[in-house]
Amino acid sequence: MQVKEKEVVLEVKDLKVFFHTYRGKVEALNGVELSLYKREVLGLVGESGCGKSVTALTILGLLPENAYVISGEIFFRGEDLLKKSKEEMRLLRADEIAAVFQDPMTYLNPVLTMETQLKEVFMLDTNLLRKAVVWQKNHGGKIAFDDLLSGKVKIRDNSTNPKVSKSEINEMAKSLCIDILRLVKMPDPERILRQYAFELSGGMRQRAMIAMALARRPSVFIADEITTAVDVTIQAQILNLMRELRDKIDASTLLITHDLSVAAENADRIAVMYGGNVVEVAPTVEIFKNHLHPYTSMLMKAIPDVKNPSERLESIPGTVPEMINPPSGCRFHPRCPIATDKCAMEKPQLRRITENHEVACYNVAV
Amino acid sequence: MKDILVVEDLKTWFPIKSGIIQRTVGYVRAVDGVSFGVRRGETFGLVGESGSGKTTLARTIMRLVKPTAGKIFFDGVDLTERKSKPAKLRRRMQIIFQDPYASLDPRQIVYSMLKETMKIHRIASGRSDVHKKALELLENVGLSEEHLYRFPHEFSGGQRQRIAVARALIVNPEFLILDEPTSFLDVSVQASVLNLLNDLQKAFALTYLFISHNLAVVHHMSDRVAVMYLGKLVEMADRDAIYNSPRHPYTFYLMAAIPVPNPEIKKEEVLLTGDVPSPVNIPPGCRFHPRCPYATGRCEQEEPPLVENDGHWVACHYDIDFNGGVRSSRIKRRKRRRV
Repeated sequence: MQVKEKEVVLEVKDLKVFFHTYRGKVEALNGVELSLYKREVLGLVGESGCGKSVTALTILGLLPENAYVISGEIFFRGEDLLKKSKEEMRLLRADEIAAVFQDPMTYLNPVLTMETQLKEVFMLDTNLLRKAVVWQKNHGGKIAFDDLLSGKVKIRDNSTNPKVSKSEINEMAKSLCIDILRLVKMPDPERILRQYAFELSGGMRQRAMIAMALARRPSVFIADEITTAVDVTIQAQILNLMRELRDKIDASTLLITHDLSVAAENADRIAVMYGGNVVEVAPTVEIFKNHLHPYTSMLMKAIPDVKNPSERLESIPGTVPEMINPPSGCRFHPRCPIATDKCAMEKPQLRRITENHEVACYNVAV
Repeated sequence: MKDILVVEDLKTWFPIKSGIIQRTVGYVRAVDGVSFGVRRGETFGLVGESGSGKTTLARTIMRLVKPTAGKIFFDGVDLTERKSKPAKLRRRMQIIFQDPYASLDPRQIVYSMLKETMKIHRIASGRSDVHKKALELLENVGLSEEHLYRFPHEFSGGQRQRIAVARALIVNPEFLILDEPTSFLDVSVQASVLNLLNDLQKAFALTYLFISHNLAVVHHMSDRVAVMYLGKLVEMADRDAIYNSPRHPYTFYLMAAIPVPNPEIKKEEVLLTGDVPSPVNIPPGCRFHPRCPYATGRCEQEEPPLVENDGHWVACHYDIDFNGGVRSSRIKRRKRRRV
């Protein structure tokens, strides 16, 4: 891991979220525990319906109307996000916690050009734009988005408040838009700005979403299945971009994916989710070499590996549980080969096995 | 081994119509000149990115779509000819679709679904015969009698796909087209379906055409693999040859893009730039040339044919050594001997 001292940026504690539906109460999250350290990439891995996305939506304060947070806390900078008002959460999403989701087409406005949509992000902070324009006037030269990122250019407030025209601010925002599109490696950014979302390919749309999310220099970046809807070669491009940006931006990333291989290549640590719980957390190499939870090890054997082929895949008996009537106790116990009576009765808590390896299972030898 | 299926220069184009009189203004060239043969008893994998024409190819082979040009021979019979009666041949070839939520009738119980197919193909008659056969089929795919009287919505994705497999097996086919059979399933369930397909292949001596965008799954299942790009095959060879020593640049980049579930393997970063062009405006010459770092003037002009070199088919003008890496400026180029 790159970071020596571990500073927790985001901490999720005992998060329980239920949904009320016509079919009954869906127990989507059943006490999720998660902590995201500064500047790390935490991979959140699990099958569909295990609660990965619900966790992300709860952190973002974007749960739908029929969802209820039963218990839990989400600490960000010492404050509980669950206690914040809608307006406070909106500002937080604008400044601190950014997210990109699976299907970029649904998150881009189809009737606005990319310029209008991207500019809006910068227009949130016209003060900064005004200062940047003034800096350019005083110092000459051009401010690039990189300068804002690195803090190389400190934009000091001038005591004399020189007049900056609206068109100058607009110009500034546009040039920053072009910068940020270059940062995400879009070819021909000037042309892209004139285009609509439908004119871009899936990979380009996703890049535009990443650009928008990073434009505000967030401290937490949630990437929810960002490469699921694109092809392998485009997936490689986007993940490569994410790795490059990681060194530039000062954000902690929560990488949500159903694909263990994607997490293997990109995450520092991996948290495995099953049935609304985090069942195992460990550094990436550790979780692949020395996984402890029975679900994790069965999952690893179930993926075909090109580099290390096996005659027969090991499959996990049974299916992913319904969250309307989830199994009691440990939610994995009906499919678990080493389950005991205790597993059916009581839910195992995450416990620390080594310094950075946690697992929620009774039957793991320490 | 004899080829059970031979496809010759198959083309499936969809017209794009526009205006009041619905004039054809262009074509989506989904499948644009594909030739290959599937040997009896093997699993032939077909990989490609979305929009490369894999599914259209499968549907055309099943004659669910009319081919624009080309020939399809199934066991020597040309399916594109009118008198061949493709419906009859469907007793011997079956297809399993990607989405088990869409391919099963939501208003029929499993029993009546199976019964209907048996009736159409006159497989079994009489209640006890049908029941016996249905039970046998379900047991083949790892389900039991209790599942016989349920509706599709009562099943999970993996179980639904098993029912689709059972239905395809009614006619005792020799050849099965599996069009992304596990892409709707979770990893833990995917493994059991893949194992089932492998078991069935052994038990019933089936030949598979296995289509998927998931390269790891295709690797696991296939004996031979063909790579499709924009409606054409770019490379076709034994599985290990394709995965370990690809000869076409597209295959090379595709293989390099597969994420490996092992954090200790540090891959060399080789990235393909750009996106797949639209099958409406196919680039002239080699269709891969706008994205190919090795492309020359010749590639822009002349379309390379798919040529064989000891069992390894490649559609590229050059014999490229990828070990030099993309960053090196000295790219060895040798003229390929035309066969």
